[in-house]
Amino acid sequence: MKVAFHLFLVSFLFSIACYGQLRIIPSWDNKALELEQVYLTENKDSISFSTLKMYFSDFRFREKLSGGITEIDTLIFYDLADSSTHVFFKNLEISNYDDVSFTLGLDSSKNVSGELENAYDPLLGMYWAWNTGYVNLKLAGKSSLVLTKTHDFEFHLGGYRFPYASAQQVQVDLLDSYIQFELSLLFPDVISLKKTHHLMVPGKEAFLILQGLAACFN
Amino acid sequence: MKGSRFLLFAFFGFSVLAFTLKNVMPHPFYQPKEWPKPSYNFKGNPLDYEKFELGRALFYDPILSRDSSISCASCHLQFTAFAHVDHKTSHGIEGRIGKRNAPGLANLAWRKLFHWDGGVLNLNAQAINPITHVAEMDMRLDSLMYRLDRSPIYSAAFKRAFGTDDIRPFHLVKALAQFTVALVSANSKYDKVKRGEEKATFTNQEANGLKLFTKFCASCHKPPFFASDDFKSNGLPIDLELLDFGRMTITGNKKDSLLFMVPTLRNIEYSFPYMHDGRISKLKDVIKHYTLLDYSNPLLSKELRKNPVKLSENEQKDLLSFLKTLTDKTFLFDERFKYSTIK
Ligand code: HEC
Ligand code: HEC
Repeated sequence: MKVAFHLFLVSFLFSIACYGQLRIIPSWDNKALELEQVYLTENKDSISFSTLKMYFSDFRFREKLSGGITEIDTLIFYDLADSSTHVFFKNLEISNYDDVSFTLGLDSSKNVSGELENAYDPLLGMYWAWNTGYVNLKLAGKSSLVLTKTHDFEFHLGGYRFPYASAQQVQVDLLDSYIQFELSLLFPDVISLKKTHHLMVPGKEAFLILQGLAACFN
Repeated sequence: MKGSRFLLFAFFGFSVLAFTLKNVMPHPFYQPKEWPKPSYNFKGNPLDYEKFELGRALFYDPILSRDSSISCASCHLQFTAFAHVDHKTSHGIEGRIGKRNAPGLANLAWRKLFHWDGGVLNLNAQAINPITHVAEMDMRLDSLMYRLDRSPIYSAAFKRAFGTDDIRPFHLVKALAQFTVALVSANSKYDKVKRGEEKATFTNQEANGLKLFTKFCASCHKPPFFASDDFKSNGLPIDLELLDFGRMTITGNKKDSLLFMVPTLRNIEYSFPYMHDGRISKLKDVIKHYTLLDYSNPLLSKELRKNPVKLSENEQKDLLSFLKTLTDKTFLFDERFKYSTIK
């Protein structure tokens, strides 16, 4: 009886803790990615990350019972270095939904809205001043694949203009209250660090990498 | 006792006066009659005299640059229509030289796109560009917020203007835009003649210049702004050192190669040197440039290709005298736009 009660209590507390939360978890070999940790790619090249920042927007949750759609058209900023940005939708009961679709990055209307507050704050380091708009995703680190002295790589991936509107649509099943994306899938097929290790402008290359990134979700 | 009561009254009276003055001082922005509606989003940043004064002080304060050496006004001087004098392309901190000529600032509220390549879509956000640009002020935004927070004068001024204890970039750029949006130039001789003001008439030379302008220039430099939001080529060959491809840098579209914004000709007499890279220093040479163009050049925009500029020596002088009627002395010497600090 007592054990059952404890079990009940623990699971109750657990469900409260999870209630209304959507967690974004970047991973490497299915383990939560950590900054500055050295990983090995498929071909045994070393790689580590110093920055992973990105935007998500335009969420559409599909309800389990009714199939109805709950739209949340907000801009969310994620920074691996800042745990306060890892969990969102604190008031949504995620377990009520089958799946969610969202935009990785921001669409053109958000890019040009002129909004500079909250998730749009240029202090977050995602604002592109010379070409009004935002970087959808920033990724930086070091890798033995980069054949320069410092081995640094840095990608500012964005751009919303035709024909390389780079924000991507993603859909994932909500089996759990988290969204995982596996970065090891990127190297070397999507990002060939031997060829490109710095990219800071919109265009075809940025578009293709974000497309590849979108395929890394769940 | 009587004395102290008087003092009390005087103090009270002055406070009321100061309070009303603050609220009565009008924001210098105004909408000239006959002009279209502005594009600037005033709802997002309602005109406010206190914010204007804060923006004005910031515009003139080198606190915005990394080594506190240059201000917005270093490149945008009032007497030269808020353009950069003497330098072809702009000079930033530590003498770093930029790629482009600083354009004059006027009537920005009616613009939809900013910069020579139209890369900036919003006047508020524009200011982040010079502040963070390595060849301009080279200042990190987080360090700048820290600097402003720590300044007793600015932290109090932002508190008064925005009611905030936490200065963010959007407060800063809104204050600056309160100033830049106020830079309305609509009181040149041309405007006075247009409005039919008493004693305002064109000389024969100016009137003939206007005719020539309307025939050859107004298709791109459209009145009343003598500018347009289109990107065109007026036949300048590429500078092989700067390699500035203009609009194409932003759109990535080859068709936009070497197209630049059509700049305003208001106060053009004072905003030398001319063109995106400042390559022409005299206004009469700009006119000459148009008469000497190779009109078979397929890269030239159609307004010019279809209507080659042919002007005799005298007509060139007439056109020049008309361009000078676009000078607005009230604007160039307006006390409200002069150097100022927070009081
Ligand atoms: C080092 C010189 C320099 C400084 C300092 C500078 N600017 Fe500029 N400004 C320029 C140049 C050059 C351009 C054109 C940029 C381009 O086309 O790429 C420009 C463009 C602009 C424009 C757009 C004008 C148009 O017609 O498109 C505005 C508005 C402006 N500046 C405001 C400011 C403000 C506000 C500040 C201070 C925060 C400032 N500038 C500081 C050089 C400077
Ligand atoms: C095809 C459209 C077009 C026509 C027609 C045209 N211009 Fe221009 N003008 C431009 C463009 C574009 C620029 C900026 C070019 C650059 O910097 O690369 C410019 C720049 C200028 C400038 C320099 C402004 C500054 O602030 O640097 C002056 C002055 C000028 N034009 C005068 C004239 C006159 C006078 C005529 C008529 C004889 C004329 N323009 C006809 C498109 C045009």
